[in-house]
Amino acid sequence: MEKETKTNKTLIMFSNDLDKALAGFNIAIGAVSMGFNATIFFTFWGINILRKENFLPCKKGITDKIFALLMPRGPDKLILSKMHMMGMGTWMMKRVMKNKQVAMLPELIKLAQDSGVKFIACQMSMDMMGIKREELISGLDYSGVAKYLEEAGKADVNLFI
Amino acid sequence: MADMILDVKRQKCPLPIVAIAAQLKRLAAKETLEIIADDPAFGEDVKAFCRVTNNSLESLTVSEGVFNAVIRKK
Repeated sequence: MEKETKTNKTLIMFSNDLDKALAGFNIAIGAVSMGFNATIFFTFWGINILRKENFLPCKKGITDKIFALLMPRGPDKLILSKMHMMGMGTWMMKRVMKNKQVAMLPELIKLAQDSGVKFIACQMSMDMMGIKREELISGLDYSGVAKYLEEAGKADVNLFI
Repeated sequence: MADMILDVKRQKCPLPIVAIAAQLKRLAAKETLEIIADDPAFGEDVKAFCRVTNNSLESLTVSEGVFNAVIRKK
């Protein structure tokens, strides 16, 4: 396929719900496959999707530590926005996805990065929640609202998830 | 006979489209790619994919829920 990029697509990943993240990554991956540029701007709760699974001892204050403990660490820890049912719903959904061979979130994140979806992490959200860069996966850009608006200005699709 | 055959049966959206995009990169211009898929959304998706990427959809048939599509790379 010729890389004839017509327009860009941008997504704001605000949520850290499993279902919403799945939808967002699907769209971004579809976009790059069809020759568009796709950018996902991760802000607020969405930052948690980018966290490494393993606990990383970092120097931070007690509130930041509590924050980090209460929020999901990485794609495997996310839960459904509905029907979580104390874990049973999310567990069932993951099982159904596996049986029906629907791509799981960690797989989609890797696929998105490999196929050229640009990931931007909101530095302000990270500072607010006390998340350090070394706690997030590699291959990210870090910036603020101006960078996002510049990207969105070049795009004809812009989704808030 | 197509230059390359891609079997994406059992794969769900967006994986068939991702696979097609990756395979097309390996083909030269005017070569053809035959795709076998059973995702129910595949028919409309492959049409849209070809329109957007300017590749030509030479044929699209479906029998018993299995799609057979041939794309000619532009």
